[in-house]
Amino acid sequence: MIKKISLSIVSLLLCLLLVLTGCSTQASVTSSTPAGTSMSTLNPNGEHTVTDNAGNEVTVPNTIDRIAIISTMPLASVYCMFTGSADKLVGLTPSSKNSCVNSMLIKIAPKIADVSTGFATGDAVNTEEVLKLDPDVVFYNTDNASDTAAAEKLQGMGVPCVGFSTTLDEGDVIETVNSWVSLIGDVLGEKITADKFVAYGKEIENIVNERVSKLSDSEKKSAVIITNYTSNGIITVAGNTFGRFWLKSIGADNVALSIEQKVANVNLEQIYAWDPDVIFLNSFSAFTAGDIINSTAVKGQDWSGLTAVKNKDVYKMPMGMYYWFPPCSDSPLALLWMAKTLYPNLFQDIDMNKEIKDYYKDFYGITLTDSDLETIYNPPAASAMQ
Amino acid sequence: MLEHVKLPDGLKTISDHKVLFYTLLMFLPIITGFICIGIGRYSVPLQDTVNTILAHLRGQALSSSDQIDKVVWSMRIPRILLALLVGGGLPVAGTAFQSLFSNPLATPDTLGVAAGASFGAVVGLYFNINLLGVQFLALLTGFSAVALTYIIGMRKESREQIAMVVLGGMVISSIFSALVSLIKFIADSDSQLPSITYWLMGSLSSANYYTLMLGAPFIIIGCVLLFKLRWRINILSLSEDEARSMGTNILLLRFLTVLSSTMITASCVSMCGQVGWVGLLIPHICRMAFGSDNTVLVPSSIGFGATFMVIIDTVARSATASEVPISILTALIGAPFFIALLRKSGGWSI
Repeated sequence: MIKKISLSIVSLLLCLLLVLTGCSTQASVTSSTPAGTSMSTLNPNGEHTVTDNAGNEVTVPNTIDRIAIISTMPLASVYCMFTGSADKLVGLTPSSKNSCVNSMLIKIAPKIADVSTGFATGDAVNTEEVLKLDPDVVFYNTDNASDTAAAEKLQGMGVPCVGFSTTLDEGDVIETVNSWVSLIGDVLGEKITADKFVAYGKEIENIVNERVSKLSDSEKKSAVIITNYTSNGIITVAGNTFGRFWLKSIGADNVALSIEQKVANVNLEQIYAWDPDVIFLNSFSAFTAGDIINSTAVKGQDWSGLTAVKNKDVYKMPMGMYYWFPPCSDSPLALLWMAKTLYPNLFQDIDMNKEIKDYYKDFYGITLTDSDLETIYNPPAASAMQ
Repeated sequence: MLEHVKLPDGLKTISDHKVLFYTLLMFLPIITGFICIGIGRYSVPLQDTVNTILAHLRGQALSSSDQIDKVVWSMRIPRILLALLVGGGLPVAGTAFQSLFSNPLATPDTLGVAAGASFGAVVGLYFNINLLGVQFLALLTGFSAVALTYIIGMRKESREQIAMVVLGGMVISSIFSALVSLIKFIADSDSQLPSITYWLMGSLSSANYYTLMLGAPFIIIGCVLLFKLRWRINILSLSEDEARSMGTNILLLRFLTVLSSTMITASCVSMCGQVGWVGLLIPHICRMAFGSDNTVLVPSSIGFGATFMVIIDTVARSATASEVPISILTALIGAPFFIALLRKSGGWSI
């Protein structure tokens, strides 16, 4: 009986809450501020308005205690960089959580292991389950149509939903993550970390650009990024957006330039036809660079005739707070690492170990051990994209 | 058999042509295969292709560059062999099913065998079992699918048998497709799902000698069995009493036919996903061209199917930098050709 009464009280309160928040939330699309830029205005009602990556003006509370990230995306790393913990994170997709607990993120935010994932199965988001988490604000990926639809539904139910795009500025990873950092800074009302982060990213971009832009065409090395390589032998390479951005930024001759898809299935013969000087293997894959160099990844797939394999110029992309291929809070480091890996001679003065350790101390407040570095460079198979 | 019968002069020429016909069937896929070895994303001069193959056949060290050797010997040749096997296998399974069910619409796809086998294979992929295990699972579920379709569709008293079989196959097919979707739903969205989805669309891209060694025996045994049974498969389309009067163990014959066809389908599905259309297209084209005699149909389905598949797969792997899923091509290239033939010949009878 008591149960019944309390249940009806709770549902009554929930209805009231929905009505109240529903009135105060505005999700109108405005064209006055361009997408990608963000700004916030504090107002005295205990809430403020931010402009998200989709160009929507979203009103969020000044005090935020519960955040749900309903898309599989590297946002948790950026969020935890601000708060230094996962205390306020109440929801993550199963796949996001898996990459978080298998990355360095668990070191600064051990509580991320307890974050609920029950609202999502595979790709599908159950909006009622999200409501049950009672989030103050929801973050979602604007490039994912079904997540955007779920966010619109939640917004209609009075939950402020802030959209983040993974492909701002034609896949410029640094710009994308900078805009995320600024947007999270706006939402949480914290500007200092954001400014410092953006400044560091710009500095790295300048250093890399200054050095690689001096290369003549004949000095440039050709490269390809393998976004995933699975046990059934399917190889995907990075095409438009991130792949083009990385290889262009580090001054590589991108052999996969003709590929217009974000990622494309190719056969091994195509890799032979490209025969790049350097192969980057994204850490989405459970295989290591050694698996490719020794052709031990998939039975019957022989990589040994490739120039990059013969010269042992196959590198697995590290995984710090997240995989280094998509935008994440480590992206400036990723840019430096890729450039130094492709042109070691140009970056002899840069001690990558020191850069990573300093960065982690400055932005995450943790001191990395040498074995931590080892894990970043050689991510364990369990951390592969699931 | 024809040789033992004293034939009138007129028929002698047909049997003469038959020799020519079989020779053509034998050599057409082989020649096409050889030509396609020379085509691909990586450009290899003809001379080097020939040298590489000769060097390997003689057991010599590399004749040309290391890369050419890898591309020709360990990528293109296994893939072409796989295309030959799948292209020969699926149509002959279709031909056998058509006779078994006395139904022009019976194929591995329409009977639910392909969907059933896919389910077994997807379960295998989900639990990460090796290819041999995947094939057995696919065989098991494929066989269950065809058995269920048979039970639903082949009721003795039913006059609408053709429709019943197709309807039964549709139902069984959709049940297994739903089960496949269920697995896709449970599977992790970023690593397993794309590979399962891509694999379901059908691709020969992961062909290599290792998978061939595990998969080819089943397809070859199935094809040889059907080839050996080709005289008797004609009997399958007769009514039960008629067949019994010819002294054939009809149950055993049915079982062997279903087993061979399902085995072929299951192996094909396990190695390269659902390659649609060929199982329907090629048998029908052969029927329109050569009539309904299985002694001709079985070998011609194998020969023309293998040729068709090698050509289609060569397009799939070499048209653009990213691979084109094979089912798209079989439908887009095969269907218009099929329609043209259908309109020209006015169809056929079983």
